[in-house]
Amino acid sequence: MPDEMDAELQDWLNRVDERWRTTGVPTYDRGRLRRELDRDIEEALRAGAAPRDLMATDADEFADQVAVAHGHPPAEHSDEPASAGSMAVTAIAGALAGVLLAWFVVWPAMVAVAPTAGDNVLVAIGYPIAAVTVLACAAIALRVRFGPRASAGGVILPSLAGLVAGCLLGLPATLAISRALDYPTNPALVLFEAIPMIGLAILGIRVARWLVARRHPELATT
Amino acid sequence: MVVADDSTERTTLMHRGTLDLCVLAVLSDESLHAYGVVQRLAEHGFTDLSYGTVYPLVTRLRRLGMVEQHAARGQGGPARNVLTLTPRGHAALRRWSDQWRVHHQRVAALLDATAELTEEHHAG
Repeated sequence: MPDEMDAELQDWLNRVDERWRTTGVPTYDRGRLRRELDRDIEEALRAGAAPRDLMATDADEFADQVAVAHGHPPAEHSDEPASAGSMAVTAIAGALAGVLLAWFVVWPAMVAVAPTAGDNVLVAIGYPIAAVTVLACAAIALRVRFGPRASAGGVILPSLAGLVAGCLLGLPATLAISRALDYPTNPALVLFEAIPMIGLAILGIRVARWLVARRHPELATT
Repeated sequence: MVVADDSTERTTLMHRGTLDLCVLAVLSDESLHAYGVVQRLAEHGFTDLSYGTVYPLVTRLRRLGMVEQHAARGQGGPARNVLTLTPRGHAALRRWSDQWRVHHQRVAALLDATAELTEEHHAG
């Protein structure tokens, strides 16, 4: 974007971009739309267009029309923060999923790989607590990120499912590393052995979000 | 059923069905940026169109693969990002313009026939 661009026009472009963000245009498409619009505006300015002619339309209206033309019907977005009650419910739902994961998967897997795992209190409670905490935090993060749209049911559950699937895929590798290192309690080593699980969990979330975005473009924002 | 009495609304309705054809026609003549398209259309009498109307339309045509934005080498100057018709755009232009001519002839024939009937009624 040229430095000499009219400040008001720059502000208008930023408002268009912000509207795309808040109405759920996926990040990749938003970046592309913004680049194409910037290039077109630059050319128009070089050709002598007056900034006021380019921004004659309301920024929000313009952004919505371009998003629809690009195949993204705008999703309604509320700027009102979620209530403490709904956040608590979200966190409890995530934590319950974490308890189930820890009870039925994490602990049995640990015992299967290392029958003496229970002898080390830190190891025995560390993984289950981590599972509960991670899922509760993930649920809150998704709730904050998507706001009311999260309650549409199309985002949180698939994302958590992707996270859990990633954790499950990474669990054997993490346990194998842990066993090879003789179940360390050093935080740096614990973090190291968790890398496969964290990586696959992130990948699981990304895949789930990609699938959601394909079926419901209005629910995908990142 | 679409019925619009207000002239501005009627103009908008007619634009909705024909403006994409006009944009393709302008771009078949010359590679331009969206504001250039607005200017060319204004030269042809479409003085009520703005950048805010044409740019979303161009975006739609780009999504449909009929128009693409690419950097054209300027003569000694910086590369220009302009819109050009793709082969699909050229094909659509031919198809849509044929449709428009047929539609226009039908409407014109109907109006002429109606005008004759009206004149006969008054004469009688």
